[in-house]
Amino acid sequence: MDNGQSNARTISLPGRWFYLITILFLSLSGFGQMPIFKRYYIADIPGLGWLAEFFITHYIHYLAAILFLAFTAYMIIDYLLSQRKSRRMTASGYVRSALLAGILASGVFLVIRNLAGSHLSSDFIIFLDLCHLGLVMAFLFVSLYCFIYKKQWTTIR
Amino acid sequence: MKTGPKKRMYKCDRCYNLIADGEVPACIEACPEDVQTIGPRDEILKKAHALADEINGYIYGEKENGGTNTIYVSPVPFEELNKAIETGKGKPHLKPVEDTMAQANNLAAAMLVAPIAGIAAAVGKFYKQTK
Repeated sequence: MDNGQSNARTISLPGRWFYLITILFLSLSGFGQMPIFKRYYIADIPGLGWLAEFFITHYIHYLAAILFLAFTAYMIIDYLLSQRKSRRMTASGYVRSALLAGILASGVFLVIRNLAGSHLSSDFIIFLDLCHLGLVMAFLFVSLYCFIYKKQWTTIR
Repeated sequence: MKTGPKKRMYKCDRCYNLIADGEVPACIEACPEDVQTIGPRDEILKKAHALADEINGYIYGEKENGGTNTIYVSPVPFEELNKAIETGKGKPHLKPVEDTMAQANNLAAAMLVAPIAGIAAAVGKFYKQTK
């Protein structure tokens, strides 16, 4: 196990904020698709009414997913090209990568499901929905743990 | 329509349990005028076009909202029918409908490009560093 005490980071400060804000909007819009914000009166809070609008949360989820896909591809390639020699992934980095990989994979299938003319079986769609939601919940709890205990994605070799 | 002990009404599922057994939905079997058919969408579309050609009719549902799973054929234009029916809450119209998922489909296409953009940015940064 590694504590990741090093202050040097894999990612710049603007990059960290980009990641955090993208995940914030993905989570909000994603949970908005369930839909829970109208049912539990969260959409009645001034400024949060958009969380109950299906197409708004749908577009925001897709837009944020586009940014997140680009960001993920950038981080993977940047790590492989520029950082792998000097840094290695921590255990929590591997856990978070695996969870994000599962979220992205199920998300890609859900986008395919939404295209006209796609034929996925209903059992598979329910599996995808639960998979996507379950992995997101796990990822958010793991992220909270990593935030509290200051676990980093990578550490100096 | 199924009604449970709590007098709840459920959305029509076209009697999927009957279809799974190779039968047709109850509404089709009960219809005295025999106006409905059920089947794979492409076959139904072919039949709809054949029928429309035969009666010089009009089709609704092929393109509306990106294409629906119920296809209507009528000898009267649907704009005329739409004028004649009472619309409102729970009473759907027969007007042309835009594809509500069209924009989302454009965004889905952008998702294919996004990782390539990310990869290009990382490779660009790498080449700048190695120069």
